[in-house]
Amino acid sequence: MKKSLFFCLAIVSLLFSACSGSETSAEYNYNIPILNYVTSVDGSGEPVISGSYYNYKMDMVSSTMEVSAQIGTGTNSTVKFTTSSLPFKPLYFNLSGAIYEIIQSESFLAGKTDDGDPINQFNCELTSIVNTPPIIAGLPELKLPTTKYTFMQYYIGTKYYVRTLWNDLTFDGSTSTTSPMGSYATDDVQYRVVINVKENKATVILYDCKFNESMPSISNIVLKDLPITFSNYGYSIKGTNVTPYIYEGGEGTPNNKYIFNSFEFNSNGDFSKANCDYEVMGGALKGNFSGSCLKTAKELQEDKE
Amino acid sequence: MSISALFIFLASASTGYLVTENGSDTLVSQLSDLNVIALKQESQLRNEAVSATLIGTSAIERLNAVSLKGVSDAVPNFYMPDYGSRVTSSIYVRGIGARMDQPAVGLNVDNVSLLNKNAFDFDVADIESVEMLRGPQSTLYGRNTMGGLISIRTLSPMRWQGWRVMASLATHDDYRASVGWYHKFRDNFATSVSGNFSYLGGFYKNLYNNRKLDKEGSGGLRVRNNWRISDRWYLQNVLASSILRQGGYPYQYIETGEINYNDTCFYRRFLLNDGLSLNYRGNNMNLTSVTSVQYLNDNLTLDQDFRPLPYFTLTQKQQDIAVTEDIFARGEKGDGKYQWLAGIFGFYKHLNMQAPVLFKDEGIRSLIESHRNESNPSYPISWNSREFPLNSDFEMPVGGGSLYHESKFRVGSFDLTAGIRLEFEESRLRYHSQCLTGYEIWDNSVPGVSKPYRNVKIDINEKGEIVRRYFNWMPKINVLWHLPENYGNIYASVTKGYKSGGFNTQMFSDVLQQRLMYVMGIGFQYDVDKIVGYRPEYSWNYEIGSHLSFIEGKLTGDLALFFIDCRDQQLTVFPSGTTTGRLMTNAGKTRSIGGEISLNYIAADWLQLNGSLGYTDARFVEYYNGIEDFKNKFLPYVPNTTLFLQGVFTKEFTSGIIKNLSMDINFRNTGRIYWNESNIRKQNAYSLLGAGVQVGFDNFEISIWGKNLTGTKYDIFYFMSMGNEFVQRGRPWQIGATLRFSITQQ
Repeated sequence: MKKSLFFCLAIVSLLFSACSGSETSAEYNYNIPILNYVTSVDGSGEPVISGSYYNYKMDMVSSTMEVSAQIGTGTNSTVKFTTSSLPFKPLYFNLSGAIYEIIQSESFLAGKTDDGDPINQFNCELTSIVNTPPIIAGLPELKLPTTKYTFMQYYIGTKYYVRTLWNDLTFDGSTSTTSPMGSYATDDVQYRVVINVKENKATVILYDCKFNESMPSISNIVLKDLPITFSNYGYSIKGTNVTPYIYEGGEGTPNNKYIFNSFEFNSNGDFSKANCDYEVMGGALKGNFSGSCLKTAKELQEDKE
Repeated sequence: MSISALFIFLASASTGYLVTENGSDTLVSQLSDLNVIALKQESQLRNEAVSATLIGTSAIERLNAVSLKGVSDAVPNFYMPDYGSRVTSSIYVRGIGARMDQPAVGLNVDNVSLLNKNAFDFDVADIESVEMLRGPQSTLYGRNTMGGLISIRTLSPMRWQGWRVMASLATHDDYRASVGWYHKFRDNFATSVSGNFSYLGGFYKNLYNNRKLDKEGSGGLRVRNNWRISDRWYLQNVLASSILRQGGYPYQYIETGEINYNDTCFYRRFLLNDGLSLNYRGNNMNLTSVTSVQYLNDNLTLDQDFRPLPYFTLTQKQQDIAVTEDIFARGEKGDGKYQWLAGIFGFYKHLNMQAPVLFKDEGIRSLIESHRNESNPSYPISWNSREFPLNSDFEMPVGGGSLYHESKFRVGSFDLTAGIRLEFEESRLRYHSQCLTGYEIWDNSVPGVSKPYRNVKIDINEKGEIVRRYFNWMPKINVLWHLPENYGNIYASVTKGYKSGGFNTQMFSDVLQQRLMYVMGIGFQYDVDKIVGYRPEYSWNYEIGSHLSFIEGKLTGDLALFFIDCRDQQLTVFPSGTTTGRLMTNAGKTRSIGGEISLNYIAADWLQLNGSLGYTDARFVEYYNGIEDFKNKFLPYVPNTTLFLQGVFTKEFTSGIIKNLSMDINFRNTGRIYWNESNIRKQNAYSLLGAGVQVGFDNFEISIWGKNLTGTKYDIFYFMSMGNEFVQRGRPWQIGATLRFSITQQ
């Protein structure tokens, strides 16, 4: 059974829950906490991951918004900015019988930082069409932003390329496996990545796993604290001979039957998609997963057509 | 006398005439007894554009039926099998039917429209007539009459007064008795009190304990009051109650050929119904109100695996109360050239159900521990106790209302009828699922060493509510041509039928079981909203037919050809894997094509011949269940043919103590039945032979009868549970004797 869980129910209006003290009936303020993935445009240096709040001040009458934030770009260096009034458009999509909204804004030149650097190629989507995982006792609790998830990419002058990154993303996709019992494919799986930025580790959780037709479905397989590396092209999580845990009754139980002899999980550049390859049970079982954690407006519009 | 007898007697009665005790069949007499069928339709149903079968009193008494089920063979394309318990009253008409939850055929008993299908199978003393209307009757009678409508009328104390006694005994310790007292206190007020009792020793033994498992005992009481208040006002009240104690299902495991299961199985039921009918006869209009209150309290407990191992048992307790109110007016203008009927109907039904499943040792081991341990053999589990319950409580209120109207125009020799019903219904399911249990995880990761790792507590306590609302319109249109010389008529009709949606409460044990296993890290979660609810079913019925009469009524025949286009047909499926619940799901589309013929010939004063033949080709047009495509497969549980032939020989005597002697021979054939959507399993056509001899004296009569005299072996039901296949065998041969005694009050 295909599961696509979105963390907001249908939203028809543009009424967001976050608000500031000074707003008219046509203005709304949004504060969304998120991680920023900052890389140098020239490819030098290591990526910087910093957390910040993005404030969205939205004027529903003129359909414009100002976005402001202060983001870390390195040790003891930050960049602060408020964009100019950027036009946005609300897009609505009917998914599984409910209406979902994406606020989309694209600007070639979105304003300047306080230091005078231009903010350009600004792409922003405020979306509720983001996957959420099943709730299983003992597994990390999913902490959602206020109402929407922000999915942004922009350049700061010729210095930095900034991409937003959420440290807890769930990928919906399909798995194909081969084993001595034959080939098997399913799209009822979800892979969740919980990143511990401080320790450069990630926990990967596989939900509703089934590697072949005769195997009972396993509600969760948890690969804990795998090393994660970041690059300009996204992040990569790897492990060898990893003993998974299966959470039952709120705690994990190690499972030696499904040791992951090799495991590699790679995201794409904007962190919206991922691929995963693994071998289990001494290589007898080989699996591949590909999926996405959200659907962009462009992808949804293409699906419509 | 059981209801089921009615259908057997169809063939021995004129199929077109409503035969009453005194032979009178006027509209006045119908109205005086407030037969709601006659009030909503012509008293002579053979003058209507409907396939109808009528059985009168004498025909009813000629054959003795042991239960309601399995006696529908005399009515073409009407199939009521005995599925082993009176809780399951399944009726299939022209391929339309239901084995669980909502009925597809409506049942009225003395104007009371029974809402709960669990109450359909019961014995009633002194049935006067039964009318069986085939095809959707939704326009006039509303929800859950998509296959047709059965209307039963018991003997009225206004028509007959005196005492009636019946006693019957038959092989397999089958005993029945009934007593009825009918009295007229005044010309305008009469009362009857009748009671019935039955006991059945059982046909089949459970190998596990070597005891008959399909024993049954039941009793009922009916009090009827009829009061002609004035020339214009008439009131009838019928209060009926019954109690039933029944044993288990005679399900045979195909692999071993045995009926052999260890856990207890029974069905207990108490019914109490009251129907109050009030009629006002105006100058050009009749106004009728029918109010009913219905109460059902039952308990079904099953060895759910039907094997001699302690897997699990299921209990289903219901307390159901319903009220209905139907107010309608009927009138005519222009000397009957225009007739109309309009009404309003409302109902409320509240069902409380408790359905715990008790998991036992083998069930815990094979269905839970083994799956969990297979996925993690280094850390196996053992349950804390070898029995634990999964509790599910439900509350299901449902209510609705409807408006309906029908107009009939007489133009020359044509009757043109059009009608419509608008209906709204809201049903809710409030569920509460609980499970408190636990297990120990053992650390066997070091070879040769086993030590406790952790104890896991499982505490599931979930509540929810699902609401469904339906709005429907149910039109009908038909044209009937009255043939000259009273040869009968030919008609064509188009009617829409509707069967309510509902909730798969039986699936909750599986929902809870999967939920438990999900907590354990295995299994998957059902989407309760999707799996528990099923949608309404709709059909369009296209029919042409004829009611014919020749040789001054000595030869009568009814013919019909039909095409039924059904959308979202509700099917009972057995989910794959180690599940046990029955799931009602909606198939994409189905269609049913067929025909029926009934003939009655009074060949001579001493010989009457009856026969009926029905043919149904019912298939899936579109049905893909996610795994298999069943397009063009035959619908399961529906026989493709029904055949009934009967000859009745009667001799009257003018002298001597014997007043009359009659003998009847009947032959029934049920056509091929597929047991599953894939049409892999089936029951081939089978035939049953019956016969009876009836000797009548002044005030009493004795009959000796036999059923399935050739001892035909056949299966009447098939299903799968936990991957195991089971069948229910049809009843073996049986012979018996019945004594009827009556004293007419002068």
